[in-house]
Amino acid sequence: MNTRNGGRIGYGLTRKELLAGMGAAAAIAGTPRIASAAIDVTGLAKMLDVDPKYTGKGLTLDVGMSYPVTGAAAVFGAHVTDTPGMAFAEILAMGGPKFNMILKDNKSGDPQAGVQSVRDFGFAHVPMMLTSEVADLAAELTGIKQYKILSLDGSGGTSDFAQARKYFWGTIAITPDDAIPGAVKFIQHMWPSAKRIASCGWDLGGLSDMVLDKIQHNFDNTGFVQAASERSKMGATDYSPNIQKIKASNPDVVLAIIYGEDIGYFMKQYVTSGINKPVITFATTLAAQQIAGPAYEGLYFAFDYFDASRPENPWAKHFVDQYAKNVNANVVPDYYTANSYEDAYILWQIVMRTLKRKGNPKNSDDLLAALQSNPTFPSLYGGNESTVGTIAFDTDTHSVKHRPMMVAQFKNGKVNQLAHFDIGGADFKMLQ
Amino acid sequence: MGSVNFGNFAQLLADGIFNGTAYGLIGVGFSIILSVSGRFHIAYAMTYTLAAYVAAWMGTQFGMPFWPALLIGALAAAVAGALMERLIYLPLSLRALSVGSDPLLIMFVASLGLTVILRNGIALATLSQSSVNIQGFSNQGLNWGPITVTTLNLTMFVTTWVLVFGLWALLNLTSLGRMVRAVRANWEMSLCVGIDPSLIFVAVFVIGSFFSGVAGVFSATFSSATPELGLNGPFFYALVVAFVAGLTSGPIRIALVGVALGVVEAMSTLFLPTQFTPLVVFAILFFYVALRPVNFKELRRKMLPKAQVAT
Repeated sequence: MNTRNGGRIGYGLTRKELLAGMGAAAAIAGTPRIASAAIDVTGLAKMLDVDPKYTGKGLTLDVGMSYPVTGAAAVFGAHVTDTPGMAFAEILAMGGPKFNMILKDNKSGDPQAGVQSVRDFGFAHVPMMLTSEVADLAAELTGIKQYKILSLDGSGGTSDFAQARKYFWGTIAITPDDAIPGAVKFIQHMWPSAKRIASCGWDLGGLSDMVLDKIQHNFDNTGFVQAASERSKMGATDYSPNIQKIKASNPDVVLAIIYGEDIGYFMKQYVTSGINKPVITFATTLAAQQIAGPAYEGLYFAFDYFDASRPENPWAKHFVDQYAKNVNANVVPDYYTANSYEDAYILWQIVMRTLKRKGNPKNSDDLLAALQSNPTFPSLYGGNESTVGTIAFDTDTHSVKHRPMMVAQFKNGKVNQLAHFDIGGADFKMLQ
Repeated sequence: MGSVNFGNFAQLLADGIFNGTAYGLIGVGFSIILSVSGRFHIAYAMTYTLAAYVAAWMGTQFGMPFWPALLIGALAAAVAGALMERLIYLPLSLRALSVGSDPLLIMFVASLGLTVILRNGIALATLSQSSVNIQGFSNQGLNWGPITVTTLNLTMFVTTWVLVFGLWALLNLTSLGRMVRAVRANWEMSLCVGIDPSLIFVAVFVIGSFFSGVAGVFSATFSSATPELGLNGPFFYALVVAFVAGLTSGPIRIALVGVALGVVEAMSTLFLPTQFTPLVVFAILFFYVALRPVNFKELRRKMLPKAQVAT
């Protein structure tokens, strides 16, 4: 490029101006799309027990969003970026503050992109953000601490490696750790003679070792043995060598500890392997279901799944209805979209509590203090027909302390709930 | 380490043969392009991907059955390959030679750029759907004693060997095949007998890309069509098979080398964790390149200087 003439590249534009323009265009392209005219908040403030004295009306607050806009997870990013927009529009309609969303692309787990996103938020003094994939697989954690950005992660949570990090909180159960105890109880109940448990998980080095150790810990005193513990690369599409080794281990049950679309590829290849043993996974998405097609039939899953076909409480029902009206009537919201919506509301709750404590909602330390003083918030999960559920954080680990979870099975193309439990297998109850 | 018993061994052998057949198919296609035209055609990965998407769209949009969709996908790959040669590689090659540049490097960079553009173009066009399934093929597991194979394995196996023997017949029993072999041996001499090497280059791009297309459709039937389909391994396997078999080898030998590679890779799971088996293939390529260095001078010589043809 010609850099003479003061760097101007034609039509009087400098390279810097051109790049700025391109950045603005990209930001506009990535802006969540919400039809604000259809926003309906009737009865919502009462449902969420909003104190009208501390709604934050008149305030404008910046919120960073570091989500996968491009890359392999872009199809999920497109969904999770819409629901905070819907939540913030509802909050404004209820007399809350104007949340100014600043969307940055983490490029589906690209650490450099994550670092850059947080740096940009830090330079702009953004006090709070919504992030994903365990703060972009931990790449954002240093910046979150350095720039003091209160961060909520509803797609990966804290996992094992990002716990107790100041300003960083996970709003989804840790997978598979939090669900494994419930899955073990389910196996004992469903298949009492099952002893040999094989697993296939992503190869994440030491983290994979930690997961296997925790699985073994849960197997203690159950008579279960780890028949095989296969590892695959993240994002693999060919699981046939792993499945072959699992087959050779003669398992009674298979745990598929893989995520995103991978479980779709796994099941597509598993059903022709001749193993014919039940598979339990710890996450499921519509994309994975589409990849697997009929091979998804019979798959079990155990985690904090948001069942949009059976919203448990009035707020969850409101969310499902409003999602269809404002975001996409053709797609059922999954747990990622539900969590990002819920996270937006948690931020608002924190802002309200900060105001009530006479704090400054633009100061992340004040926001953090408000969160820690009362770490329980309304939730789309749990509750009952008349009462909104709750989500509670552990102020030591910064992960969820209480979270309704389930074991369910895909049957005739639908989710069939089989058991309910909470973190660590607490309150386990078979439904059928 | 996996347990070694007859059932496990037989299953790994079967898996290796079937996987290796797929490697052979892409290796044959890549080899004929490289050995005749000298083009280091990285965008081969994208004709592989393109065929999968076209076949998937034929099924999802028009309800087309599997075999016609596969054929259209492979033909689309063949046309794309021919266009790449005619519109990009040949003009760039001529331009490079006219200014005294190394055409091999320019072809490499151009093909890499083309791959990036096509990969992102497909991703952009399919942003709302991360993957598309091939329709119309019901994959079933078949148990033969301790071995389980699938109908997709068997279909791909038969199709591959029909294509490989068909290509062998084309190269050995037809006038087009004689011309291809003549240009591969010595394009300058082929000029003397009235063969236009630039047309033969297009012909091998059509053949090689068709092979990549068939392989791409089978691969997407096994998994799903994604923008990265051809980039997650297939190009690498094509490269290894082509080089290890030898660039002047016939299609049957190349395909057999693919099968051998597949068997070695599958058997390596007996002593290596599954995720590290590609290392075996890397090692084979490493030792091959170390022991028999690639003759880049010969590849450069194959770059068609049409300007010289005219003179």
